[in-house]
Amino acid sequence: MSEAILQIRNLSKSYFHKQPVLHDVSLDVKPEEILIIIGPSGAGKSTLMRCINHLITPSSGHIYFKGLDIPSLHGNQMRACRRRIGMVFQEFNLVERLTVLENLLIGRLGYMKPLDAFLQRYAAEDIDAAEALLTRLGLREFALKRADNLSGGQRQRVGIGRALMQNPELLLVDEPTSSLDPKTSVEVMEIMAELARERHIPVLVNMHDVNLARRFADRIVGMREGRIVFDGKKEELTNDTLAKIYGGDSWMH
Amino acid sequence: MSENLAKEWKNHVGPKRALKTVFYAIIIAALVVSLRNIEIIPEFLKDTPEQLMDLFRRMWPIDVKFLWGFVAPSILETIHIATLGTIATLIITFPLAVLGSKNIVRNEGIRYVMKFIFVASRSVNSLIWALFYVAVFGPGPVAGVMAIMSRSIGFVGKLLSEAIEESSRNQIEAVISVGAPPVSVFLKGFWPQIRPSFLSIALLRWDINIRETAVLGIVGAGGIGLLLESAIDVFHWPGVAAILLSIFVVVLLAEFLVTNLRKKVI
Ligand SMILES: Nc1ncnc2c1ncn2[C@@H]1O[C@H](COP(=O)(O)OP(=O)(O)OP(=O)(O)O)[C@@H](O)[C@H]1O
Ligand SMILES: [Mg+2]
Repeated sequence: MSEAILQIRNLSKSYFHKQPVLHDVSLDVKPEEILIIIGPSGAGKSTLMRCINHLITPSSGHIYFKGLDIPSLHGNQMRACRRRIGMVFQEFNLVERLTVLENLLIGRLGYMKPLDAFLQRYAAEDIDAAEALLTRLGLREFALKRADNLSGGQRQRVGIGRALMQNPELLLVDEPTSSLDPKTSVEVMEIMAELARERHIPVLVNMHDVNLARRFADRIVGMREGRIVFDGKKEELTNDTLAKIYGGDSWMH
Repeated sequence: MSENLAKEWKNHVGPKRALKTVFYAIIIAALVVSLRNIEIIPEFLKDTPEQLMDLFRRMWPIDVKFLWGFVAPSILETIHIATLGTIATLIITFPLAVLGSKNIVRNEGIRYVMKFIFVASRSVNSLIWALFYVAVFGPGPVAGVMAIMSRSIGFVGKLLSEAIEESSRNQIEAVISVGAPPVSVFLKGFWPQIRPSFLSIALLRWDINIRETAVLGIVGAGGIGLLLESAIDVFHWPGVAAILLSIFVVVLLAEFLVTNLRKKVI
């Protein structure tokens, strides 16, 4: 078995004193795998993801990313680490008033001087890379349109493009399809999985939709109330385990 | 709770209605009290229409030679003062507004200092600022520019700070998540969101400043007000008419320009 890309060890997080949202979570993400975390609302899935990208600081525990302990990083080191991890958001989080192209190029900001960003002096190869990605995402014709003109599915593809522009070594994807219709959801997941596999990028996804998770995951992790209650292949995800993750089984019928 | 919703609703709106009634009563009472207080003398009011007609008759026809020779350059100076004052305000206020926004600066102390500067600036009328600067720099347009600036910092600072604080956290977070340095986060996360407000606030303030500058000359701070005062002093009514008319036209033009430009930026 190959070395894990990401090793989460005994991670805990409380927003308020003595009310932990994550309890002692340990988890490994292996190279090139698509790992999907499922679990009810409030289980702490987003919190876990935000800890990994250091958007929040955990209360205790470690997150090792290729030898770096993420929670202990600050300043430039933290930013240098963040740019190696791409993030895709439930609400897409595009900068609405910028063009689609510039939204993709935001993925390069971690590598650029602020002055170049100010003067919109993007490297020619970055623009080429953005063009290639936009073509793959089916958005080439929207490159110079403002992001707020796009539909939900198109926006999420821009979100994926932005993350991939970072040349990430890991993708964090937080409920990418919760704001999308079922058909668009599958399409978005498909293009994302395809691009990630091509680039050999491991992906950590949060989602609610168990069927979608089964369809795209190499491995599934179930979370409930801040704890990991299941970790296995998708074939091992039985109705009993689902009942354990979500509580009760009346919702299944 | 066994109460029905209709009853709950009554209890919910009842107190509010009472409060509203009290509020209106206070306003009416205030109106009555102040009307009594200012002592309008009926004898003075009686011949108002004649006085007005008399004034108009003396103003007409307006002094065209005076208009081109004196009013036009003076109006131009007024516009320059307002424009310079507005630009200086924007340059100085932008960093202050950034420092005064709670989604950028965590430190409450710094934010309060900025809020204090904004409030202080707004609490003093521009005529008073002008008096102060005329005393410092002597009469002339420099005092005017300083007065306009001192007054505008509060207005622009407050509105700009509010615009920054209303920026969507989601969009910012995405830019942070790619590892962008703070300045880039501002440039690509905040600025696109606040740009329309910024331009809109700048135009609005320029429009206000044109109107404010028109009176600053009365205390010696340059611009058309100076000319107006001297024309009134020597009872040169056709000249006064020319001045009033040009102020009216300039204000109207500024308003028209600003309204149209603001539509474009939003
Ligand atoms: N910034 C915050 N401050 C305080 N509490 C928070 C904050 N963010 C999340 N929480 C709380 O932490 C718990 C876990 O939230 P989290 O968003 O991680 O859950 P989730 O599994 O992603 O849920 P969902 O599926 O609804 O997105 C919730 O009870 C939530 O109320
Ligand atoms: Mg979530």
